[in-house]
Amino acid sequence: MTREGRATGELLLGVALVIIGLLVLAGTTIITVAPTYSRVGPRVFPFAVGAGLIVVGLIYTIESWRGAQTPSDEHQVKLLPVTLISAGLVLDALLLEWIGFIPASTLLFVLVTAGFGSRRYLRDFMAGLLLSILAYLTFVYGLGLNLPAGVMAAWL
Amino acid sequence: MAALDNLLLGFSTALTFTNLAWSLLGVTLGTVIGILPGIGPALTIALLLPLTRHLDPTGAFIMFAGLYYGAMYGSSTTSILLNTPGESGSIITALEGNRMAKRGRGAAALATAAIGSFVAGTIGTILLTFIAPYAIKVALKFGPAEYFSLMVLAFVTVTGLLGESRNRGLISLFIGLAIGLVGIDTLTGQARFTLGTPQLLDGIDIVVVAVGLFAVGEAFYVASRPTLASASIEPVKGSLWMTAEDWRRSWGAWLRGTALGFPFGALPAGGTEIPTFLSYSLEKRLSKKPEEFGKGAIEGVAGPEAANNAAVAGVLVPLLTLGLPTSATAAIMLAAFQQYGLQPGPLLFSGEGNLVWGLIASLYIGNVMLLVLNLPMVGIWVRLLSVPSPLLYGGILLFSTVGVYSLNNSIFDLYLLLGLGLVGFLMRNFAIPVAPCVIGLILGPLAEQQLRRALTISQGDFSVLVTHPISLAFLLAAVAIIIVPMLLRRLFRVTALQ
Repeated sequence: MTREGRATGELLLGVALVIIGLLVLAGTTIITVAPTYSRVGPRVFPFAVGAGLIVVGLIYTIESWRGAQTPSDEHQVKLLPVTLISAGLVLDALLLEWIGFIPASTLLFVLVTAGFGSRRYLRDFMAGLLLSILAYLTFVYGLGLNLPAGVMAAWL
Repeated sequence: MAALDNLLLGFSTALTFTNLAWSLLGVTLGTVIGILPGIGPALTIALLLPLTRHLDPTGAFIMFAGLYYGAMYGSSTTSILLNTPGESGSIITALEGNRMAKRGRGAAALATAAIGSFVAGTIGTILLTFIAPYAIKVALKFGPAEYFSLMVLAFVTVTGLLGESRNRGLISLFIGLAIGLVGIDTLTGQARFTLGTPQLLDGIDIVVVAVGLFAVGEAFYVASRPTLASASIEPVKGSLWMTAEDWRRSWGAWLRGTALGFPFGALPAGGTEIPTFLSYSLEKRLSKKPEEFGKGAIEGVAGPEAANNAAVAGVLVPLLTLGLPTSATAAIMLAAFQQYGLQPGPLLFSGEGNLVWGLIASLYIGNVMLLVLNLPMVGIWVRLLSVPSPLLYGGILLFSTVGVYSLNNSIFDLYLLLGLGLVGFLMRNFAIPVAPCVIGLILGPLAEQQLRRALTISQGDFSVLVTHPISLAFLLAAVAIIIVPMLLRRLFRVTALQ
């Protein structure tokens, strides 16, 4: 990551922490408190956490305003891999209960390998399929977990 | 000696066929995940939680503890042969161990690491056996105020000593505390921060958070940096039998490493990294050949490896006797106790003696198994290092979704997993340590409970925290840990200016 990019990122992160802290404080005020608990009820601790977030966020913002504080690393950051892996997880969440564990997990596996720069799609597909079948058999028949069979229900 | 009677009882539990099998499974899995980069003991135990829900808790804990020990053994292998530490406790091992491997002394480095881990693990377990009964007696004197102040002390130490910047540690801690707020308040039954989402009423499960931060976040981080060079694997060269000189230079380092590692793990000082750094600099100072440091000095492997294994044994003292986790893995193990409806502490020792002492006894057995697994059989595990990273991470994410989905059979948890993975990615990018977040998540709700209990007893009077002497001592220690380094830095700056 470049130095400038990092410094901007730090400022944004610091501000985001302060905002989250404010949201926690706002959320604290809408917690209903029974009159018997008026003193040390369910609001005290969230209030402290919200205040703490604001303080550490402010310190972070000020420190990064004075100059980037994250140890720099020389690596270039690419976002395509992150997108591919995220897509794999979203598709898994969307498809799991519809087409079943084995195809959804194979798809996730292939997208993750692609995210890691692999171009050997056939090998990755076969490895993913094999691992998904093995995991399904072990967890469902060995440990009694409940994983969706989906379109392969007839065969399993 | 009551401890010896208890230990014998423990061995009668640990030596049954099933429990030996759990121990073997745990140490083997631990060795494997220790060797594989990108997957550590905290993540693995988190993934195993939903899978072991219906198992006998004794067997499950024997497996978890074996896994924690095993990961420390395995990660030294990766550090030495690949120069990429498998776990944070092995960063230092990579310094000298990899140099030794490059000079054709890889086998000796592996041997001193494995034997040192065995020596330290065994001494650490002996200390655990004899200290635990005393720690319980102390714990019995603690009321809610003392527990709360102790947790505050733990919060300060896990953030202050881990990572390079205290504020970054605090950011991580507060993120964890904030996530811990979500869900129904245990004392009043009020929903908090659920945004009207029914799936959030039970709170955000620590498994989802740990897997999101450790597995998904780590995958994002590694994948987003294609230039992170994959280091070359050094072949195991030389004899696994250490020479007389190797032994002479190693044994002192093992014992000193143990002496540093155990207290660091046992006090709520957090983590296995610090004692390895201390051990390394101590060995460098004591060595008759300091010029060899940086070029492959065997003491630089022997000391830190002993220190990280002894620290793991130390971490179990506050975890088992007080229910206080001081590392991310211990935090997940505390979640495992909660899953079985068990509360670590004095009551666990009196009510579940079989489980606790069986667990402790299994550590002695596990250490012997690990020595065998990691010395003669090291050649087998080394092949794991040649698994291409796309397949490795594909597998890690596949198992992550299995673990998270089977918590509640809920798709919502999978989206949560992705969200937390992105949070973990951001944290890694800005060098914010992840462990305080996990510890804050599990300890936050407990600290809140203790605080409110203390204040209910004192009828809302906060001074109860400072009028109880033990509680006051913990709070003063926490303040000292924050202030003393700041004062020292200022002092040094002043003298430097003059």
